[in-house]
Amino acid sequence: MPVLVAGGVLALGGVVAIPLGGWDTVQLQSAVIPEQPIGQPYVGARLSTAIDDIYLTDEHPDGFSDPDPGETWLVVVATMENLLDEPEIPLGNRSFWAFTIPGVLELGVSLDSGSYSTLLQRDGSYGPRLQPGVPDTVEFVFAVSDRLFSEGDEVRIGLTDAEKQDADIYDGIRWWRPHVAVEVPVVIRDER
Amino acid sequence: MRARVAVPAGVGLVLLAFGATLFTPTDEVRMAPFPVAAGIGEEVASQHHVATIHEVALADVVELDGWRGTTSGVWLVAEATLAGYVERTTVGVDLFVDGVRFESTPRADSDTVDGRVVDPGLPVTGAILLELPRDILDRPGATSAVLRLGAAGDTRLDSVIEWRIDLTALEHHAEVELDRVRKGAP
Repeated sequence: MPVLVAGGVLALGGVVAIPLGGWDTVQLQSAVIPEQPIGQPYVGARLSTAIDDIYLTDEHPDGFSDPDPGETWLVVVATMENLLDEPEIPLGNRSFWAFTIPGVLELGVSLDSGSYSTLLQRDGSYGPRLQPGVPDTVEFVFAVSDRLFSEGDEVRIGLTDAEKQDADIYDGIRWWRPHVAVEVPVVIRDER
Repeated sequence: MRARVAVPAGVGLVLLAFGATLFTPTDEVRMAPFPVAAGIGEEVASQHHVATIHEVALADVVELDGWRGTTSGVWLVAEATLAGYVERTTVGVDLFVDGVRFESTPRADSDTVDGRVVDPGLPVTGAILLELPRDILDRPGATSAVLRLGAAGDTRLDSVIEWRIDLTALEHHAEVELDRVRKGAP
C-alpha cells in the first residue's frame, strides 16, 4: 500500500510538471551565481575586487602598443585590495584568475604572455604587485578579436574565490576549488 | 613487575612523542635566513652586500626624476648606500610588520638602489621605496618592523642584513623629493 501511494505521488508530480516545462527548467539553487553590482567590491579570501569599467579601444593605455591586425584591446578596470600577508599579482594565474570574462579569460585556461598586460592606473606602471592592505585601481588589457564584442554588449564578469589552505608539499598557500563566486553584469563601452 | 614498568614507560613514550611534535621547528624556522643586525647610519656587511642606511622616513608622495609617486597608502622611504661584498649581486628589500611582508616597489623603474645589481668596491647611493597600508602605524608590530636586505628572490638559508625600525617614531612628510641613484657614498 505505501509503495502504491508513493508511486501515485511521484506520477502526479510528473503530470503537474509537464505544463510547467518539465523538470529541466528547474535550476538548482546552489548553482545560481549571485550578481554583484558594478563598482561594488566582492571580498574573497585572496582579494577584494570591484569591477569599475570595461571598454574596447585601439589605443593601449600604455600609449605605444598597437593591436595586431584584426584585433583590438579589451580593457577591464578594477579596484583591488590584497588581503594576504604577502605581495600578490592582481590577475593571479591560470588555476585561479582573479576574474573571468566569457571567451577571453577562463579558469584553468592559460593566456599567451603577450596577449595581455596589467598596468597601475595611477601612473601606468607595468606589472604591478599589490602590497597587502594597499588598495589600488588596475587596468587589465587583453588582446581580443575586433569582432568578439561590440558597443552595448553585456558581459558577465565572474569574480573568483577559493578556499585558502596550507600547502602540503611546499611552504605556502594552496587554493582549493577556485570558482566564480559572483558575477558582475557590465555593458561594454566602445572607445574605438 | 613487568606491568608496573610497562605502563609508565608507555605513558612516557607518548609524552615524548607529543614533546617531539611540539618542539619540532617549523619550515619557517628551519629555512630562515641568517641575519646580520644593523643600526641606522652603521655600515654592515653580509655574505652578499655592504650596506648603510642613512635615513628612514614616511611620505605621502615621492618625487624622483620626474616620476611622481602617489599611493593610497603611505611610502616608507630609506636612503641607502650599497655595494657588493665579494661579487656582483642582486638587491632585494622587504619590510616585515607582524608577519606581513611588503616588498620594495619597482614603480620608480631603476631609479632606486634596490631591484638592481651592485658590484664590490663600487658603492651606489639612492632611495629604497616601499608602499605600506595607510593604517600601518596602528597595526601590531609597527614599533618593531624589520627591513631586510638580501639578494633578490629566495632568501631562505641565505645571508641578509636586517634593520629593526620603529615606524611610529619616523618623520612623516607630505611630499619628499628624492635624488636619483649616484655613485659613491653621500
